[in-house]
Amino acid sequence: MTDCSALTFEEALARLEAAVEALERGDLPLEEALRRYEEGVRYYRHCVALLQQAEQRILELQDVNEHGQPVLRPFGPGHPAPATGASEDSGPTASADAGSRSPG
Amino acid sequence: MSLYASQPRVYRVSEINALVRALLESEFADVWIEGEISNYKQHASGHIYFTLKDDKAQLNAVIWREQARRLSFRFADGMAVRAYGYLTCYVEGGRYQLITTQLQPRGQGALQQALELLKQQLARRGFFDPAHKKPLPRFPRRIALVTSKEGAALRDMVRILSRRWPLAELWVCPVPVQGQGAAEQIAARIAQLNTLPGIDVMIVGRGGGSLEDLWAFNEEIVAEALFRSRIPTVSAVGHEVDYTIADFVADRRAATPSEAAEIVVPDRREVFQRLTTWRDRLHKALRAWLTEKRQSLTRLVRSAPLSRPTARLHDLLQEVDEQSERLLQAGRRRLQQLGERVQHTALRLDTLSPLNVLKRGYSLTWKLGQSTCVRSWQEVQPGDWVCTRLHVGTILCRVESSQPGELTR
Repeated sequence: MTDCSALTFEEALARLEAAVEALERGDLPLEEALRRYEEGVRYYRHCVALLQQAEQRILELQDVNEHGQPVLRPFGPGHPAPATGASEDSGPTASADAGSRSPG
Repeated sequence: MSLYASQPRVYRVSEINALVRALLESEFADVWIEGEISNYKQHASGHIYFTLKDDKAQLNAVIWREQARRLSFRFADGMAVRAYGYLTCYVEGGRYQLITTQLQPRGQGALQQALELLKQQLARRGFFDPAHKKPLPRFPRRIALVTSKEGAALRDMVRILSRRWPLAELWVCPVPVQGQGAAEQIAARIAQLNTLPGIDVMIVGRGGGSLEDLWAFNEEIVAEALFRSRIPTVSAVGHEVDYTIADFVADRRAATPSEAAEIVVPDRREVFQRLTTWRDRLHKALRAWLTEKRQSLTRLVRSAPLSRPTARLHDLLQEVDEQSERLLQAGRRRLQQLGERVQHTALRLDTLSPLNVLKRGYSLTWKLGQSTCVRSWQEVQPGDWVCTRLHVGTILCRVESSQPGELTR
């Protein structure tokens, strides 16, 4: 059983399409046909789950640090720009020199 | 320096010119001058020379290379402008001139003219060439929004992106979208995003405004950043009627920020429907496959030479039919059940596999090099090589004779 939980939506959809097309060709042996069918069902379910569970992540890109890594922090009404420009929230990268660049 | 001194003060030319220069530079250190451009010429060195004039007089002006490079507009003879700078005297030539540090078109007509000039220039450089347009991703996973953090544009985009495609991560990249330095910062953001991996598409824009408000999106520096971006770009400036240079350079132009959000992501509900279609096709394909399997089993039953096992096969066939029907009904209900029944049916089908028939002493024969079974004595001729598949192993045989009915020897 291949694990499809790590697949992106696009990948899972592509595999679902491939499974359907393989099955529609109709020349598969027994084992293969059922395997492709089951895979197709799994990819379908994965796609549906991604669509239903998705919760939008919104981040603010503050800067790119000296290692070329993005300095990010959560963005939203609850996260106004800090006056000092320093990052308070944890992002993928700790903010060292995030300057506030809010427009005037 | 008295006019009534006994001995008149006599200056050398260079002295008086230097004095005039000092006087001009202190008295007119920052002046705005309004006029019309004539004799506009950019020298190979990068400096720009021109004359400012009105209906009665004219004044020489120069823009040094450094400032010339930072001009937000393109100028030509006849344009009404407002120039800022200081007056000085060119000592060697004894001419005075305006050292211009800022030059702005005056009035809507001049702005439009400046815009048109830049557009022509960029078009010649291939910036609007459709061959350079990159396709947008079907299902972007990370979308960058280059716009003002406070604007309605950002709110609109976030709202629509969240509704249509919450699977994507949004990166808000705040920039000033108007005023001094806005264009530079927008361009810098676009370039910065291009140093980062994993960004599938970016929207660059702002809400509506006057031509002056939208001007940052008409500047060459922004056009260049968009043109160089390897990340696909969507411009979203102002309202439907507003066209900026950025709109022509970006890979896609959206009439408004809201439309940009609709362009870059699919609608979750439509995708859901498409998924349902794929699921239905999956079921249909399996049904077709099962039907085909059933038919081949029927053929197997008909070709069975003895009657007793045939009855057993008929039973099994019926079971397959029932299972298939159940399977397909389940498919219309819930996928969870369906998956389980598929497995169940798979086991059932397996017992019907020809290989299981072989277990009971039957065999399959086919001509060497062919994939279909030999079903009739007429299909082979003496001398043909045939293979016979037994439950365990295969025998290679040569046909001595073939005839209808049983061998009598």
